[in-house]
Amino acid sequence: MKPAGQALSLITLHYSDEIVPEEEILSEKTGRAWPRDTDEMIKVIESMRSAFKPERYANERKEKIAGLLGEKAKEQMVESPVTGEEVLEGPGDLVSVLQESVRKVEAAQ
Amino acid sequence: MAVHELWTGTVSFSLVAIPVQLVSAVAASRISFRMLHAKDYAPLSRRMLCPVEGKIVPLHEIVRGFEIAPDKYIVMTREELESVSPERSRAIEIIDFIDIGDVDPVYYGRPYFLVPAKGGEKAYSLLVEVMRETGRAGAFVDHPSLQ
Repeated sequence: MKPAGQALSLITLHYSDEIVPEEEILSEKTGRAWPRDTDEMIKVIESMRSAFKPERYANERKEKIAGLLGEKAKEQMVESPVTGEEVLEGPGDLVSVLQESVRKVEAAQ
Repeated sequence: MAVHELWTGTVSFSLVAIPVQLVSAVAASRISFRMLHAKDYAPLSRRMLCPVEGKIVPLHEIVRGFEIAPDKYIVMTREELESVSPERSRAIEIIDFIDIGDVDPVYYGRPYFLVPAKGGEKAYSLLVEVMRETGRAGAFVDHPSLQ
């Protein structure tokens, strides 16, 4: 648990016996790096240095699905018979994205 | 502890391409139980039931619907969902090197290990060493093997 802005965030951790030990995955596989190679690699990495901006890394698949749902929303909606049964899955977490997508489609028309 | 290889490909950035294998960093060690029929201890299985017909629905008659309002759905076919899925790429393409300290743990998802594949040992060691020395982490977007 840690402060996050004015709130407290809570992040669950794995137990130590759930983490695969490093020696089990690496064995004798790694080689040695040479100083000249190290300098070159540092140059490449520093040339690609950037501040972390979370919004830069969007979930493209989710956006594409929301876009497709937005396109189909007006003409290809089906209605299920009322059964009084509890459905297995509720509305997905795409609802807000979809609503935004529908608003954009309507605004463009 | 069993290590399962999930994917084989390359980590690439700039002109660098390092052959790697992806393995999960977490092994399932939690205790799980099967549901049994208390009368005869037969393992129970789940079936999809249509509440209108009162019958079990076979797999080929099941489609995915997104509930847009109560009892109103948009049906998505398997082909439509596949059309928006990224192809199974052979590369994890790093687009930025960021300061790992800038990433709040709230953004963390599942942990994995990347291990060197054949021929990539030296470059792999070099990358590990330089990233450790500089405190940088590679950032990339949306690899299908990690979903």
